[in-house]
Amino acid sequence: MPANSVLLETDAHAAPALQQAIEKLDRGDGGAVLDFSSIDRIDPSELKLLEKLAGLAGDKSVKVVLRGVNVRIYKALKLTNLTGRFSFEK
Amino acid sequence: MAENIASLSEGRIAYLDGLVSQARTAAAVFSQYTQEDVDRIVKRMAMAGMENAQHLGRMAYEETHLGVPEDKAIKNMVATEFVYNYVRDKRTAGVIREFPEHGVVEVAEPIGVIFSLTPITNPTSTVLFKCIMAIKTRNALIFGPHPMAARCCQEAMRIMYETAVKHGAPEGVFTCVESPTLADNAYLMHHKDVAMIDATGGRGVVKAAYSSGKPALGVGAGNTPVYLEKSADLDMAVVDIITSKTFDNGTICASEQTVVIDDEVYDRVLRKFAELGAHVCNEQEAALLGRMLVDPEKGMARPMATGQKAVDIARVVGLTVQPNTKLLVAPIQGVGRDHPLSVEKLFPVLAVYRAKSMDEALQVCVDVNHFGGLGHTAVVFSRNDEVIRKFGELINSGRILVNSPGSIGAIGGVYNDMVPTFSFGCGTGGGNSTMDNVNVFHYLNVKRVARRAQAPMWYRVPNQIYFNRNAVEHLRQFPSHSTVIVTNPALEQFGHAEIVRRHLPEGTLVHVLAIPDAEPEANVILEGLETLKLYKADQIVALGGGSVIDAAKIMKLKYEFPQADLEELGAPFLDIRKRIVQYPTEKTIHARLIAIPTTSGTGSEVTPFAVLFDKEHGRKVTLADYSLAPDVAIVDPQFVMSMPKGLTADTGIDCLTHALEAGVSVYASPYTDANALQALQMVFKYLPIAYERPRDEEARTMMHNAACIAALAFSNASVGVNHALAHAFGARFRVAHGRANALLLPHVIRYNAAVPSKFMPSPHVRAFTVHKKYAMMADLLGLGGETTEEKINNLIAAIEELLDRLSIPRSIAELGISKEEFERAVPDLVKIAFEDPSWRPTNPRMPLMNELADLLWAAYKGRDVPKVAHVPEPEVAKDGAYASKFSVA
Repeated sequence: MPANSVLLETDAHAAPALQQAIEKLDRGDGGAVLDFSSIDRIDPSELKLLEKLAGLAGDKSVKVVLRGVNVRIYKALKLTNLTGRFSFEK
Repeated sequence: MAENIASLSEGRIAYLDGLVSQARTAAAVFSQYTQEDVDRIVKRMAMAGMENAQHLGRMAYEETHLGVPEDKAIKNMVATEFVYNYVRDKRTAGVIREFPEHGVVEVAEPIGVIFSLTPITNPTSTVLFKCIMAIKTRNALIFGPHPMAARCCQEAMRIMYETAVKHGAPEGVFTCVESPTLADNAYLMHHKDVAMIDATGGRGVVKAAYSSGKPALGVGAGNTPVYLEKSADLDMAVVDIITSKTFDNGTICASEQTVVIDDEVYDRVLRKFAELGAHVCNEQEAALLGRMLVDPEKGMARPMATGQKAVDIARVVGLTVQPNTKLLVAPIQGVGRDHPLSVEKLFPVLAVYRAKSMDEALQVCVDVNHFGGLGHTAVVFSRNDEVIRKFGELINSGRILVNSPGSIGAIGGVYNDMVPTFSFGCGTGGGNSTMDNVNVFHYLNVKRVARRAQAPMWYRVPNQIYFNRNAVEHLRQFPSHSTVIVTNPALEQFGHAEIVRRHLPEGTLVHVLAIPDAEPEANVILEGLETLKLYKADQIVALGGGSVIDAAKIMKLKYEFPQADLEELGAPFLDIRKRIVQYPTEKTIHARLIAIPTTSGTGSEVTPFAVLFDKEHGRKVTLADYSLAPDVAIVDPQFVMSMPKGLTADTGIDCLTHALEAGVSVYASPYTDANALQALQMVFKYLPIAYERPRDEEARTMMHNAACIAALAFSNASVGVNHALAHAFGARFRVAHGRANALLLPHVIRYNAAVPSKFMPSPHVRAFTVHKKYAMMADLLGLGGETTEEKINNLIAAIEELLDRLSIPRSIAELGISKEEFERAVPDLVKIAFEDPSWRPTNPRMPLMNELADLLWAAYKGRDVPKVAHVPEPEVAKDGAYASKFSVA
């Protein structure tokens, strides 16, 4: 895990953890690691939050790691040009 | 277009960007959905569409004041129920089709964000239709409705959207531009995140879509010609035309525009129109309609009449008609700008034309078709299949409807089995990218996952091969009334032909045809053909070397298939199974071909090849087909006992080359390997003995068998560049084929064994293994060596030593060919060798032209003195076995 990062667990929905991560980045508390292992699919609101998170990470020059992203979600991120703005871990 | 975009405010651009962003997010999320997900949603949408069909139909009418609300409701139902019925079982996500016999699977890939323009004439039905298509295919839609139908379109979209999202579709999957303008459309058409434009509407919209540079489905206007032919069911035709042309007051662009009626039934048809509520105009009334309803400047119908009732149109133009008139029928005398009513009229005015003949009728239909209707829709009413066929051939329309209404027929699924649609592709004639009824498959990228083909292979050999001394006795078992023995004068003189004659069944009429001992030319074939005809031969015995047997094969081909064109059959091919020219299969006569070789090398007695010498062009033409293979081979060594030493060496090396090239061929299989490797061992063991002790019967027998066995291998695995170069070089410098092979052989092995500059593109090449195959051959011959490279070197050295023992010249230069003469020949030789079918596609390495030239020059300069391997004096086993006893020096 990158230094100064906090692992944010997610359950079947990613939105709460994403919201937490956004708040964390907004506070300037460093990067975040988001565990997507239990997420099968994301919805438009979650994708929008990921876009926002990517934007904040860029502004604050911190790293956001997405862990355990399945390939279908990865493709959805690819289609919205987001993959280059996150780091991915298995 | 750019000017339009420039007029957009920043706020408007932000609004439009927001629509696209929302749609893009939805499309990305949608990519995660499965077939089951979308099918569940689509079903609910179709039900919602049906429930709201009437509401939306009325709303569309009230907003646009076009058409008939009841008809619009029907259109909405078709757009939901019929479209759903079509798509319900279609796979549009994940794997959509499988072709196991071809190893191909089709997989759907959504398009993404589609900007969809919808027309004023069919607003809600088009929206319903496109929404179902988009969800079924996991795409997001941004609607740009016609400004005069924006509210009803938004309502149709809202109903579809809310239903879709309620049942799991991603939010934002449909959006609609509020108060759309041309500038909005232009901006969205050029937006980087819009993947495709689907424009249904007028010519301007379609043209703009295609001009945007985006992939586009642009389908638009038509001008439907109808041929009412005299054999038609007139009652049905008139009802169909009225039904169609008055449906939604003629707003469907597939509706009938000009009906061309045969003279014989013209008056009856017009009476029927009148009886069923149409007003048939006189000349003055028709002219009035033309003047009032068609803009002479634009050559198009004026919008004011679009979708209006016939009585209202009549009233506006000042035409007196009955109050219940549903259609205005106006006779015209021609098609084009001088005949205003021959244009597309999206209102219940129908042009009719009286044709004096079928030719005239078809010609007028073609004129209408080309006057704004290319690619769209056409209708023919006839009971005459020939008329229908001719109409179908002449008219350029995506939908050619037979004995059915144009508008409702073209929609599909009602009067016929065409795909239901609200978007008619007009093909290139209409400036469109498709001629189909646009459907879900136009909203998909279809990916093909193609598995590597495991091409079926074969192993075909004559079913009767008799071998060893006195095998010729087997001739007795083949009854024949008339046998022609094809041989050469020397063999006839030696008494070989007489031996054959003696072994033929009693009572056989025998004629001996002696031909020159050289690769056969066309005149030799023709002479032989005449002989076969003259003696009504039912059996041909080819007694001789490769040239004689080849000649007999070709004679038989022409005898059995007189229509066979040898020049055409010799055309180059890449894959024998896919070649352009097919050999004939319908025999006019059957003559058995028995081949008795008198040399031990070519193996022509079992091969499907024959070489013809084209004297005119100084080249060899190779014929290849399994129909050429002899029916019976008799490999009897008594016919080779007197072979001269030089011929023994040359033909023996030909046999060796066959074994080596078949062994490393791309087409090599365990079946051919068995033959190739066996022959290789036999040649190394027995060729030196046969050469040095010509009367050694065992060595002669084994070499004779080796030649046949090697031929069984290359009949199926073919040969390679060694043969291709030898054919070219041999023909040019009149060098015996085996000798030409010998001069090239060491160099070709070295070339093939190296990592190629180009691999042979063939599914049979599964790895680079040719070097290992050569090494395996060296092992089989007991040549020693630790590494693959050493083994290959030892193989080459052993071959070079064998060539030396056979007194084969070491180089082309040694043949007395000057460097200058050779230099002049090389470009031609390379060209001819490259065209030679011998190496395609079987040589293990794809030869480049410069590499072929290098090989020729290497052969010119000559081979090295053997350095590594030493081939010991072979020991002939007493029991006739041929164990390898070679060792490395």
